[in-house]
Amino acid sequence: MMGLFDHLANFVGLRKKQVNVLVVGLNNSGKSTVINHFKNQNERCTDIIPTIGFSVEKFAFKNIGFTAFDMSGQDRYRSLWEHYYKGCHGIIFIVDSNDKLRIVVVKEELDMLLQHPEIAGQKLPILFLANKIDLPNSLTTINLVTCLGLDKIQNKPWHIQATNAITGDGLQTAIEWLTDQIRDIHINRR
Amino acid sequence: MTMSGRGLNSSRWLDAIWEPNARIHNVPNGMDMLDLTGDGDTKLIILDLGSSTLKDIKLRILNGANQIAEYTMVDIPSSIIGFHTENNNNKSAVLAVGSCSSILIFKNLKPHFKFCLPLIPAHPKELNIWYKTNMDAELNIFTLKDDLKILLKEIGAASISSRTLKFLSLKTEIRQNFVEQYRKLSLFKVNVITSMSTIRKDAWTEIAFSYLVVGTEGGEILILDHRGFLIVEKYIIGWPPVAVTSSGLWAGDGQIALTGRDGQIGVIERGKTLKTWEKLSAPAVAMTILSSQGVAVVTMNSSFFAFSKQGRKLWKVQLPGNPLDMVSLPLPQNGLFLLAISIAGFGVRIYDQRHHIDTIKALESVASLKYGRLGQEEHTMAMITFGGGLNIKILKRTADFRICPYFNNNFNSLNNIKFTIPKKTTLSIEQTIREKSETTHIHRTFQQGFLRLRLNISSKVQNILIVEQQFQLLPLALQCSILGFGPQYKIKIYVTCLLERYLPNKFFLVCRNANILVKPRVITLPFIAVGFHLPAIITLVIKNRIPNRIQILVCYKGQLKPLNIITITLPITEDQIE
Repeated sequence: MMGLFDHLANFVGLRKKQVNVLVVGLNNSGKSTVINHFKNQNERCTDIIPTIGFSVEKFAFKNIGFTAFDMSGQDRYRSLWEHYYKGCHGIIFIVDSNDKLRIVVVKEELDMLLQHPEIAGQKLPILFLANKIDLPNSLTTINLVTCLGLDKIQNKPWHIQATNAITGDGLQTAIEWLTDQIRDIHINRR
Repeated sequence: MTMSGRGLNSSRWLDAIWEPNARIHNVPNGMDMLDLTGDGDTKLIILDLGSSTLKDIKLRILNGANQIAEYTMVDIPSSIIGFHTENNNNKSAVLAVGSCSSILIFKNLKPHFKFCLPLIPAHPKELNIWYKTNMDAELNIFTLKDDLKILLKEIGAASISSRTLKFLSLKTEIRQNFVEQYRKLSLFKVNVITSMSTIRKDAWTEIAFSYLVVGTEGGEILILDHRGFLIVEKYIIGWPPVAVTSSGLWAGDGQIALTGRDGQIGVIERGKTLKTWEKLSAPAVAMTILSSQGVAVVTMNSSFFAFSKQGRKLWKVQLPGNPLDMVSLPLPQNGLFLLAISIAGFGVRIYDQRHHIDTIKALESVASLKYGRLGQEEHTMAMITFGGGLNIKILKRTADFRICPYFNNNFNSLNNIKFTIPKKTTLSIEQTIREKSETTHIHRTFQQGFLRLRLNISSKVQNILIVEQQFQLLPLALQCSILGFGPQYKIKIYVTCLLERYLPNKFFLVCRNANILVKPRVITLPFIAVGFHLPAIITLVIKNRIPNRIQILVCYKGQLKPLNIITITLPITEDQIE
């Protein structure tokens, strides 16, 4: 059915708006799993392996075509992130809420991202996903807000959502928020 | 470049966990980071000695700051170490705990195997004494006691079996029963594990099996097989190794460095006997590998040594305080191999080669250190303080140790200057032969050159002296007179030639003063014949009423310094009469 509507939409001339989103987070936080969930049922891959470098994924939501740059979170590839800051319309920052040891590392990477010249002055929506919320001893979203100092983010709309990327819990509301924000900031303004 | 800037300002380490009340009492070699379950999540394994009285000894397994398992130890463990027993297919590591005379092997967080060191036969003299006691129909406790006491003095307590020591420590009335009970059993000495390490057998891949290297009180190094824990190789050293480190592959160029209680340091290679490098001035506190080059040792007299793989001493650095533990920090992504040394009262100091480049400040002295992968993080430093606190720090991704002024190429190149010592090449041999045969010729050539040099110098000196002499006395006389009342003056200068010949036309006069209009400023003197007075007139206009001076410089063309300076004080301008 979806395919038919898509065809119809294209036929009528309602072309999708294309936006770029950057997906970042430490390794093993679930970035590729989250992106995999946004894709169509038949395009999903069954086993997720650690991303090397980055991978580009495409999916559509609410008549907006997303191009997601799924960056590798391994520390030797984290220096690649900053090369993709330019030209992106939104950021999805995924946090493993069960990894308390590395919360400091997450904060360090987030601070570096926010202070980067390409990001600092721009009004970019940032979606934080507190992933692996199903695991015992995982941090709540309120804990994460204080740990990461999200309340201090000034000029950017942000939202934190507790998710479970394996079952897909919370992902729908999260991507809805991001889509609305990108529509408000980038598409309606034009 | 904001990132490197940030790295400069703040610490290179992130504070992940600081639990001052963890109450862990640890010793060097009593901590390891291992992936015990094979899920990619590395756990911290800590040997907790409970307290200084060594009661309630536990093996604690932590995931971050949460304890996930705990085992009570019966004996006092000396060291723990983790290693792989399989190649590639099984990610989970095996934990070995060296404790008295046995090694406890834990697999998948469960006790798996216990390896016991073989017993050592007792000293022949001791055996003889007990044998005689066995043979005697009537047991004489007193002669046995006397014999054993003499033996104890002769060979020392370390070489005597525990049965004899127990016998001597008993009260006289129980001794009879003790001997009756035990004399029929064969006499052996118990061996004790003093240190443990692992060495990779034949592969550098991330997960590859290693041999267990065990140092014993009996002065041996045992190489244990990774699967059956059988003794594969045995090396006799003669003194108990207290610290063992290994580098390389045992099947290839691998070597095991070891140090003893008296400061001996040496190395074992496969199939070879111990090669002693040196005897250190003090016993070693900790030893670790130094990249691929050799080993680093910190000693009890606050020294920090490094030895090359061949046993050459690379450096000795005096530390500010007593070292407590040392661990190596390999940073392959930066091309560095650092060392972290915990120093009492000075926190943990990071050294690059011999240069101190960073300090991790700690509130309490750090008793033991471990660096490696913990959880999902590659660069983690776990520290346990004397107060029992657990501190885990993570090295920042952007940490740049090269910023430090100690680390620049100039410094390194200064250190690496090699003296070129001429070798006995065919060229040098030929030269020597030529020098011997052509002595007189070589001497003559040298003398010629030397004389020529002296001649050159004297002719130069002569030349200079003549030119200088020419103008030693001023070749002209000046006579100046001031005309007028002011503010306009005229100065009349009579120039007279004092030379016997004519005066060359290379002289000129310069009038100098900032406040006075002088016209002309420069007067070039023409050829002046002997005895001829040449008048030169200078017009001056004074701007203010301050007493003024004018300088007349006598100069010679091509020479910077004036030959003479004449200073003329001008009279104060008289008031104009209306």
